[in-house]
Amino acid sequence: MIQGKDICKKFGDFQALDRASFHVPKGAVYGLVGPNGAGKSTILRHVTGIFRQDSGELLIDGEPVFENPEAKRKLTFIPDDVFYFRQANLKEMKKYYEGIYPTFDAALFDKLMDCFPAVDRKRNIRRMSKGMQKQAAFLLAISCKPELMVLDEPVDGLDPVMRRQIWNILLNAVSEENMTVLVSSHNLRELEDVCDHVGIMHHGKVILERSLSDLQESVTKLQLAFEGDEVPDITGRFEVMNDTQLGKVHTMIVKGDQRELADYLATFHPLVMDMLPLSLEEIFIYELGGENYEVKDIII
Amino acid sequence: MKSKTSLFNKTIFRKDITRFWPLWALQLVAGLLVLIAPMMSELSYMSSIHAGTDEKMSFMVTLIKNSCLSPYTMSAGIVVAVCVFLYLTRERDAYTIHSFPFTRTTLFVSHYLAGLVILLVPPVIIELLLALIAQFHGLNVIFVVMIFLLEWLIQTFFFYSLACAVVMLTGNPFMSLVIYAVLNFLAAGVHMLYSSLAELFVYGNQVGSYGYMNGETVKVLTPVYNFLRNICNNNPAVYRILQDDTRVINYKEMLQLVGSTAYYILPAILFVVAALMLYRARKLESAGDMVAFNWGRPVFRVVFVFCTSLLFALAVYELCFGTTISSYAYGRIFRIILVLVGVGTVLFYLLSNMILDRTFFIWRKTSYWRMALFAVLMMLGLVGVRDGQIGTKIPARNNITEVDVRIQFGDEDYFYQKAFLSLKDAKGIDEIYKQNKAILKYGRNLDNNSDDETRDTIEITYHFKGGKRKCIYPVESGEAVVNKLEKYLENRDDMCEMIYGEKYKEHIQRKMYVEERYTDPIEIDEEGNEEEPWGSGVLHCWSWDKSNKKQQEIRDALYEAVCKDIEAGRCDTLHMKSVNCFYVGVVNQDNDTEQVVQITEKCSETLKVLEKLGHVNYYEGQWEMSSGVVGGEGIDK
Repeated sequence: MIQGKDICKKFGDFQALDRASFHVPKGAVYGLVGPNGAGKSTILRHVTGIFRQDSGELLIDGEPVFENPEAKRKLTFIPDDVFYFRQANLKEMKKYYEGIYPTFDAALFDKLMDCFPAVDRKRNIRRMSKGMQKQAAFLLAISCKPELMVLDEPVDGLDPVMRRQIWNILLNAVSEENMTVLVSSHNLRELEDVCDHVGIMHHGKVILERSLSDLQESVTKLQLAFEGDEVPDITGRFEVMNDTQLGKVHTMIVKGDQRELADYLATFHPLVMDMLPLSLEEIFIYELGGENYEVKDIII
Repeated sequence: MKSKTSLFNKTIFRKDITRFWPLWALQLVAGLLVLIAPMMSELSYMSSIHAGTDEKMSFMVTLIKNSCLSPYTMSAGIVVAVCVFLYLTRERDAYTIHSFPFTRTTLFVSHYLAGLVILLVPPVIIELLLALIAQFHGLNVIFVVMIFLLEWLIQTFFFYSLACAVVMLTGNPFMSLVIYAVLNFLAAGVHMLYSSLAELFVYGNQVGSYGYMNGETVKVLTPVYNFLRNICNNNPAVYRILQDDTRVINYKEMLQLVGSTAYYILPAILFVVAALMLYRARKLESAGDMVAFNWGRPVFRVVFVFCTSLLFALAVYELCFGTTISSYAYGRIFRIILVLVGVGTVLFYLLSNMILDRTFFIWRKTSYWRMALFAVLMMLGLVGVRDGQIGTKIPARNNITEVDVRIQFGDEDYFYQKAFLSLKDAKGIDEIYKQNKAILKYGRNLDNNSDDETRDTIEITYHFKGGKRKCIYPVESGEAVVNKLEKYLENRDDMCEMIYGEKYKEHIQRKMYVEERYTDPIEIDEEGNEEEPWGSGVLHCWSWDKSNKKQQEIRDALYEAVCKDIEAGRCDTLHMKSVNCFYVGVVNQDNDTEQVVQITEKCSETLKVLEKLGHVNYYEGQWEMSSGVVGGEGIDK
């Protein structure tokens, strides 16, 4: 659905995107994660045709998106900071979206209004709370029945019920309509529940991009204990991202094939060997730790 | 399905029209208050005093004409442009609007047209309402309304297009207003700044008496002034008087008037195209920035620093030194201005960086060598202005075809008599040119603290192909170079011809006149100082035109007598005195008075002719006129 290749973007002296490449398959829920200032929002603004890349290529269904209404008509965008016309209420915004998107489904809009009881059609949207503004933005965007939804921190400011509500509607659209979702968020626990693909960004680059299951399988958290103090050196065969020791128990984050790792370690006859699933948050932290973005232990 | 190449989107257009309803409402209310209400009141009053239709029509036409007010169209243009493109100045708004499925061209065209409609429809409604009410009073002003609506359309189109181009240049609404205002008055402002400053330190700055807005380029490049001048100052005749004395409204002249501003349509179109190109090239990340394009930063900086540093130098000089330094201390004034411009350039260079980067902390980012270079260039420019290489340069001798010399005497309160000579012969032009260079050299080195506040000036106007250049030199009394120039002029045999011009005989054939002038006596105060006379003026004026042979004879006799007096050196053509006297002058074909010669008690030949005409009597060795003794002071009561 989206193909980004070597995208570069500079803001003055600051290199916001540095040969960023990524690929979002059709029907995927793609989570874009990364530290602050990594370039997530910038990449989303390229995907939505707001920014023109300095170099590189960005295609939606094989077509460049910048200044291409046909490509842009396939997508809707919910930015982190949602814009509404001054004095406008939801009814007026709906009318505006109807005029812009030929695919706007008024019936769907009315149907979905029931899911967001707090949103008043006749109230000035700008006077609503941030969460309610987000709900209104989601309502408008999903009612356009887009092929691609681009969301920047979509559930930021929403209560847990509304978060679940929005994800439910989104995932339903993904399964029913084969809609593609590109989402950027810092809430990795939540993304882990909904995303099937993940891209990790750092310093304007997509440093890692994989399906979530592949990602989780490729990184393993091990708890090992051996009879003596010596621990076999596995760094020659596997990439050890982290190694901590508490008594005789070593906790290691290791990159590599889980089965191969298990077989290899079994040859050393460990007293204890547990292979634990790694959360997206842990993968994120350990991956960026390798990029000099680790959590520092500071005692104040 | 919308066309891929659609340039217009009615949803955007409609939204702009509806969301900016206050702009409509304000214009309509203003129109009702400023035009409709006074019109109804005045027409009712006119009806009550049974005023004639002509009078009512005259009032209506003036009202309609004045309703097309350039400062209003100029201000409305930028307000509407900023409003309809306000989304470009806020990141959130810009990003959302540009994520919608439109090209930038569609966005621009739709917003632009919405703005144009917002600007044009209220005046159309008001003017048509005006025509309707006038019709109710039995006055048909629909054609007049149409003509001035056309003028309104031209003005609005121009100002709004310029405003849109300006809005595209910046990412900040306040900056849009500033740049727009500056652009509209840039030519006049720079001209004024330059002239005011140059006047202080350039001896013989030629701008003085021209005024700041008199240059044709300055006028054209100051559209609001040009429109205003065209519509309001060049008051067109509302009526045309026919042979049979009937009066009809002069539509043709009104249309010509509107048509003369139509050349602003082309720049307006260019501004629209420029605005569109800028929009398409614009980087949205510049939302909120003072200047939306990287190339715009140095342009902004140069214009800003150039104008503000000159303004700074002028203001500081006038505030701190203006009252203490003699205006003849050209050398000292120049050194002060030079330092002030240098300091101003540095200060405003830094300030420009602060504005562009929206921070006070620009010290590390500032390119100091560029700043220094700029300051040096500005100062070199000033040196160039002083030395005549820039701006005030007198034309090359080869190009000069004619020279006019005007010598003027006066002080703060009075401007006395003028002498005006026109030289066309190569020898004469050479001499004036040589003297001019000497005057310049004298002035450049002049650096004294004289308190002499006289306004004695020598004005030299060079005529050359394609224009003329005027240099005005203030002179101190008794200045050697000026004396030399005067001596040369006085010794010329063709003084009469020079005074009355090449076609003087033709002028004399047409009309010659004599003015009897009086001057109040000079009084001596308690300390024995002479006080300036209270007043002077014309008591009588007689003229003789080509109506009959007798008048022709009088004109010829007068002319011959004046010539004899000049040739005999009895007329001091360059140093007219503030005394009771006669002026003898000619009137040219355009009915403008031309040069005059002062007739004092020494000009016996002319006085004899005037005696024959009964305007003066010779009695006991004095020539007596109705205002007293010729050559004396005050009115004989």
